[in-house]
Amino acid sequence: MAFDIDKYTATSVAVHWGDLDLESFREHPLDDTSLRTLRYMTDVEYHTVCYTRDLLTTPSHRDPDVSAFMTMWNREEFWHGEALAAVLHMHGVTVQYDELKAKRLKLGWKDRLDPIKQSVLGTLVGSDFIATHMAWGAANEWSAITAYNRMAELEENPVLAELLRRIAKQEARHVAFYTSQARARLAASTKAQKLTRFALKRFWAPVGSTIMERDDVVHVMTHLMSGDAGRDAARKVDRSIASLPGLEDLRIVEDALDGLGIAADGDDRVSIR
Amino acid sequence: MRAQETDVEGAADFDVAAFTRSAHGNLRDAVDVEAIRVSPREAQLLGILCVLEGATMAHLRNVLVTATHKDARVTAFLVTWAFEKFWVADALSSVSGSGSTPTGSLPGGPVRRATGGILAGRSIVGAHMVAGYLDDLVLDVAYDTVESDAAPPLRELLAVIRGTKSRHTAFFLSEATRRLASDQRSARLAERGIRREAWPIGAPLLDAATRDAFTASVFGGDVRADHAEHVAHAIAVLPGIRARTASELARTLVKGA
Ligand SMILES: [Fe+2]
Ligand SMILES: [Fe+2]
Repeated sequence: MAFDIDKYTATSVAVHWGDLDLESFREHPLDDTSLRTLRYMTDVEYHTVCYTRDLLTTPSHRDPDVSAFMTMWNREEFWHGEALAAVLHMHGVTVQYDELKAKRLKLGWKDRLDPIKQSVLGTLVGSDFIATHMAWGAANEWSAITAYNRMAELEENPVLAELLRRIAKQEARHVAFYTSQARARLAASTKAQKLTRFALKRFWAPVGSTIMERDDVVHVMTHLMSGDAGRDAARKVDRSIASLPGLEDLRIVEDALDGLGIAADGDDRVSIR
Repeated sequence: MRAQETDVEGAADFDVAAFTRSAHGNLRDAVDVEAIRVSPREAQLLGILCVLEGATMAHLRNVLVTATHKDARVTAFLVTWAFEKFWVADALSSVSGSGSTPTGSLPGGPVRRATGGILAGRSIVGAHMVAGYLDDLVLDVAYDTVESDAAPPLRELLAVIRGTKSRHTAFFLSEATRRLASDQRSARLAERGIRREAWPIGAPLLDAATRDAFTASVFGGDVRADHAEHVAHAIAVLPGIRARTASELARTLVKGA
């Protein structure tokens, strides 16, 4: 199904939470485990511009639909960061632009060279590389929805659940865009399929892995994706990715969890701390 | 490496959080865009402005591969800036009848920009702020030109567009001033950008004939040449920008790049 970009841009809004009773967190605060996960999510959302940058190094920005999508998408993700930061704020955690900047500065040389590598690779493999970026984006957005839904399930806090539901609803529209792009571009080229398969299998890691410490990644994955229920959710993401042309049988999320040593069975949140 | 890591001195006086919270979306909510009738001459200039305002992703492509992407305050601004300009371009596309907003690539490309960016370090952020400011100054002259004999409905739309853009200009001016004042290297990089790039930022997306038409209608004739002087003067008063760079800019604007 084609993605209606005009409809998307016309209805793109900053996620709102003014009507939600965030003050209730003062009386019923989230625990430290959840706050740490929430902080991770906030950082990831605020850093979307770093992913945009990688996407822009490919020729994809010349496509008006992609350009329009990225404009709205960037802003929606920024507001996910703001919404989650508002929840953290109720717990006395303030996220400042300066702190985010400090985190980005830590990226260092690897980060400086990335756009060059991406672009050289992008030039070599041409438009097939756009397909890879789109499939990668789809995998990330599916993961985001899963993470928010899992968190809402585990928390059983109605205010948080509603906010996460609103965010996840926007992530679902991002999935729709990335999958429609990826599907069409992969279907059109077996070279794109091979390249994408290779790139995802070899390099994909849970969203946030490049900006956060491994400890934080392990914490979040243990919190949200461990045990039977977590593993089921991971398999669901893998099945969605594998439904794209040429990506049959890929299991990148499960492999990532295994690589991080996240328990694949048992009760939720068994091995936290 | 040390020199690059020095922080910008002087307090930032533009409230980015307030700006992001009050972003202007679809201009059709405020103005009856469909009802505006324009002359063929107006349509041409408005169509060109549509391309120039829509050059955000092409510009970000070059900007985000440098240290600028690490400044969370600047990127928070740019995310909202791109959003507002998207809707400005959308309205311009509608009144000019130019259809969808064309996109393309600006010269340089990510490899050259990223390589240059590594050498320039964080001083490049100041140069990018000057670029944003200069782009706004040139487009402002273009809006003056359209507005000079526009009928009231078009005037109303232009007022909304210029109101939206005035906040961008304020941010770029405030950041450029602060960063250039505390970092000589920023000023040198800004000067290099002023000399080497085409202005406004999106100009390379236009074909040669369209670019000439833009230059002629915006900076052609004696009166309009004054407008180039006006832009150059605004740039000349930025800290560390030499008079020579500004007067060269004035000549280039009149001549067309
Ligand atoms: Fe998000
Ligand atoms: Fe998303």
